[in-house]
Amino acid sequence: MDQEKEEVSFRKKLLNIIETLTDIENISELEEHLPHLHGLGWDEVIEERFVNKQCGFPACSQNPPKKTKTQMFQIDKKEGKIYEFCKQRSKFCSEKCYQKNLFVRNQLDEHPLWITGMTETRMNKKYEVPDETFVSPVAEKVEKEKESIEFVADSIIAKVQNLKLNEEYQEPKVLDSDEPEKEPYKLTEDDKEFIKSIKQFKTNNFGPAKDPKTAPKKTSQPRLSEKNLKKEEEILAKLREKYGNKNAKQKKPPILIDAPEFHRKVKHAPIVTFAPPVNEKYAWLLDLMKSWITEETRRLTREGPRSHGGDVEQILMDFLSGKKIDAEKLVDLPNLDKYNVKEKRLNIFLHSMRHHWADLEARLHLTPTRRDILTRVAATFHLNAENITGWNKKELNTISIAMFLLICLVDVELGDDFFKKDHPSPELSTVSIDLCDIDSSELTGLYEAIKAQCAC
Amino acid sequence: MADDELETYRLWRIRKTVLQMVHDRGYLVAQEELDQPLETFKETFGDRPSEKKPARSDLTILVAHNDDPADQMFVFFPEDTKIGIKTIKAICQQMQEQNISRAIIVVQTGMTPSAKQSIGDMAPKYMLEHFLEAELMVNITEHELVPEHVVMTAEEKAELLARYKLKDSQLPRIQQCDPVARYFGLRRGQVVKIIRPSETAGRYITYRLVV
Repeated sequence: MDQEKEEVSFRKKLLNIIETLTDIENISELEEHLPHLHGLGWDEVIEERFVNKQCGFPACSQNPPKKTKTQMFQIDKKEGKIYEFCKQRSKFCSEKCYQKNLFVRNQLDEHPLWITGMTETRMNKKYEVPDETFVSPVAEKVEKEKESIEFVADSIIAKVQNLKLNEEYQEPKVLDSDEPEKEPYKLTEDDKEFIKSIKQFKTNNFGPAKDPKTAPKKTSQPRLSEKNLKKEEEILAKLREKYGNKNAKQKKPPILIDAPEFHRKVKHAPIVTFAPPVNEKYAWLLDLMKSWITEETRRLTREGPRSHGGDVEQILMDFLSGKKIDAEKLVDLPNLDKYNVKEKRLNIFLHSMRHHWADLEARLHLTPTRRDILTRVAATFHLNAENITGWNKKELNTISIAMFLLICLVDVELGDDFFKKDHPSPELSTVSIDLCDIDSSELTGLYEAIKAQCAC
Repeated sequence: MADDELETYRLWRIRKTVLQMVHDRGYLVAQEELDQPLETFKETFGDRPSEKKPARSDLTILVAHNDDPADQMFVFFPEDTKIGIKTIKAICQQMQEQNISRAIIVVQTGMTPSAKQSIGDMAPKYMLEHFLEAELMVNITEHELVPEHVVMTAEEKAELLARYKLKDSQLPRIQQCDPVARYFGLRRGQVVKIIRPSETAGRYITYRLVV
């Protein structure tokens, strides 16, 4: 009951305050009433004043508000957005009063007095009442923003360009005069490229660069009188003293760290040794083959396809020859990775060259019995993530031919058919020219290279 | 022109409903006034509201109760579209001057919350009721779905409670803000007798206590 009574009394108090603020004429009175008001109460004061045809902000009696707009919101149909509650703004005589209102309202407590009670913090809070000299923080911010933005004229950009040219022009001179004893820094290939790219960037962004040889006339240096020159030098000397001789340090050649060499293998690939027959364009192929070929492949080429008849035969041979059998090696332990990675890679490799190999087989009229030999050869390869797929069509055709050459090495009968006395048969050379522009001499070179790889 | 005509029509309808309402509450209104056609209204008050002919203040009505001529009631039509505390205060002052305790305010679009609260605060001394113009465009009691409401006097209420051996709280209730309750200006504790037609009983009577 007490609470209800208290609430009623607080409500009455609020009503009285609203009434007084509606008629208030002295702004100093406003401050003492503010602790009792809450946000919505303040809005009511504004509403009351507006209804009475006064400016919404208390004590602003001289200016009647403008005629109200009928529209409540500004709606941007294109963006589908609704902007501010226009009616609230139209309750004030001016934007200044509106900002004052916001300034006061932001200080007010959100909750009414009958919810919070007359707490000390609320009653003792200091409220700032905007006076005539009030400048809204929002407006101030906008002004500051305006100040901080500078529009750079095109003429200044042009000057910057000249300045850069001057630097370019002056630099070598200074270098020569200051450190004649030091070895001039030689530009490496990388540096030249870097300078070139910078120049290109400059021409793209600031128009065509002027020729440094023609530039000197435009540089500021000749224009300077002798006095000015002296002055400038003095200033420069002072600056050097102050900041130490940083320039000298900078003129030392920068420490260059060699970039890690790429394709080191390519450079040292066996192709170099077999230079004459094989064109350098097949270096990548031989490199690839080298990464594939393992000891097992070499054995396969030495012993032919039939001598190595799988694990069972191997065990039998080992047994017959009285070798000790390493049980651990033989037992195929289950793979923890779920997939047999080697098998998976083999499948990927075979899959990637499937169509091209089939095409080659068809063109060479290979018998079906010889087809599985690719799988057997490929199974001996050392396959990793880099060398199993990702070639284009021509590369795949070339790889197919190379594989076929390798198979010819493995399968002697096939070799006899297509590579008699180390020379490709006309059938094979036409097919290879057709597929990947490898003529018979190149084919021979390739064959020799692969043979050499398998031999070593 | 068209606006004026519409506005005049509106004012005529509103005034007519107000008079009917006042009449139903037991105040003295001449039958002529109740039956006043639009033409007569235009003749007496004018037909150009935009030129203050009639101004809303011209429509102010003062009526006296049938039983007690001292019990008078004002009906105000304020000019402002929205009414604030100040208007209420002005009305109260006028009532005070003329020693009248009851009034109806017909507002155009609405009242500020503080104005409503100030009406509530003055309740025992000055009984102010407010209606929107839009609410008074038709007389709701004439609607076919609204049954006949009869306001009971204090004696009738006592008799009813005695007859059925009831307490106040045992009666069905009706809210004070119910449109019909507002139409009759019912106060808390009053009882209204509702007579509605019934297919089985011919007519069915129920009583409601205003809460």
